[in-house]
Amino acid sequence: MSPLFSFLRGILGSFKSRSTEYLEFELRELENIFAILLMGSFIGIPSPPTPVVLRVIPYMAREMAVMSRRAEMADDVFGEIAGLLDVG
Amino acid sequence: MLDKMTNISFFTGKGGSGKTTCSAAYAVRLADKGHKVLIASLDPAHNLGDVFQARLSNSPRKIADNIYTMEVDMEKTIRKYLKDTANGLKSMYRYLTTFNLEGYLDTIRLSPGIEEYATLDAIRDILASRRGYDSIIFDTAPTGLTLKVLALPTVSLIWIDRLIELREKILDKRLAIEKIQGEKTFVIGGEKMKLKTRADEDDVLRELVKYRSEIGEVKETLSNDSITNLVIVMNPDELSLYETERAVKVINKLEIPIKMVIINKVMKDEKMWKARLDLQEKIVAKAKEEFRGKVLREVPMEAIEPRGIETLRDFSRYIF
Repeated sequence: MSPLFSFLRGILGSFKSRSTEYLEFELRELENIFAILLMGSFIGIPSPPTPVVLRVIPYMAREMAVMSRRAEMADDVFGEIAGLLDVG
Repeated sequence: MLDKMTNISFFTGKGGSGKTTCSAAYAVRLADKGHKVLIASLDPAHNLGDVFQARLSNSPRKIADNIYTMEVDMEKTIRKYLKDTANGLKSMYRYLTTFNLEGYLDTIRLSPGIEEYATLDAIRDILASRRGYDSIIFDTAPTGLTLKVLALPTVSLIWIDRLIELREKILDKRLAIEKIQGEKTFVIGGEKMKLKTRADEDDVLRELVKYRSEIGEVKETLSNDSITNLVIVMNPDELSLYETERAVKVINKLEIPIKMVIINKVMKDEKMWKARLDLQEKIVAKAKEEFRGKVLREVPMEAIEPRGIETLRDFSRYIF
């Protein structure tokens, strides 16, 4: 692969990554909200009837993982948003 | 869900109003007309067996021509329900060591309303698997619990619709990202998985849609006045009347057709009262014998129902 081609590929990859940054942030938030809604009874927010939760929870591995990561980063939410918006 | 001819009746009302007796009498009446009837007790404090003077169990048992009876074992239903769920969860979350599955299920077992969910599940099971009956009669728990059970499909549908909407948004975003970045994978517990982006491959959405259809069918069955009806049993007293009025309002909101209101234990014949007094005397004597050593009080029936602080104060002198 020529150096020029690698360079162009790198540039394109960077554009692609920048173009979906906001979408990915939004997606993570939506997945997090989805998981929190289903596990809401644990933290005292209104939650769907238990059978609804029990039906889908076996397929929620990714959302659970996202929720755990979000919980770990919960003390630096502004930092993440600042990074996303190129502030500071 | 059911054969076209199967009629479903729910008997509900205040505790002690005579739901079981009325529902059992209805079963006998239908059986005499040649209907094959299943009568199922959903009341955790079963007394259908006492009324039929037969030992009943968790599965239908023929006790007379055309009459099949069962008393749903709620504890067993809840245990089975949670066990099935636990199996599904274990296979999926085997790698999530921080996720305390046992603790989660214990919480669910004790969570408020689990009995209502199990009752609805029992109703669904009976409706789905008991083909061949002309009529199915449910003798239910007192009004409060029954109304919550009957409201569950409506409440569940509202939640499921919102969750489906949110899930579709998630899939839209994933698909948009996939179109630019290409197929994405994620790793959990060392296992590499493809990120699902389409509605037909997403297990969560598929399960929600499937559950929606199942619950939708139950709701449709409950509100179909050509197959389902509800009978409320009340007594000729004020408290019973108020509770029935409130129940009717809720049931109307749930769009479940009310077939009949039975006013049970109406005083009509003086001779009957003499017979009742004799029976009462025998039962009081038996209770005194049975509960020897316990504190026992005989409280007379008042001409006016004891309501309000003053009347209750007056009434309390019989007991304390």
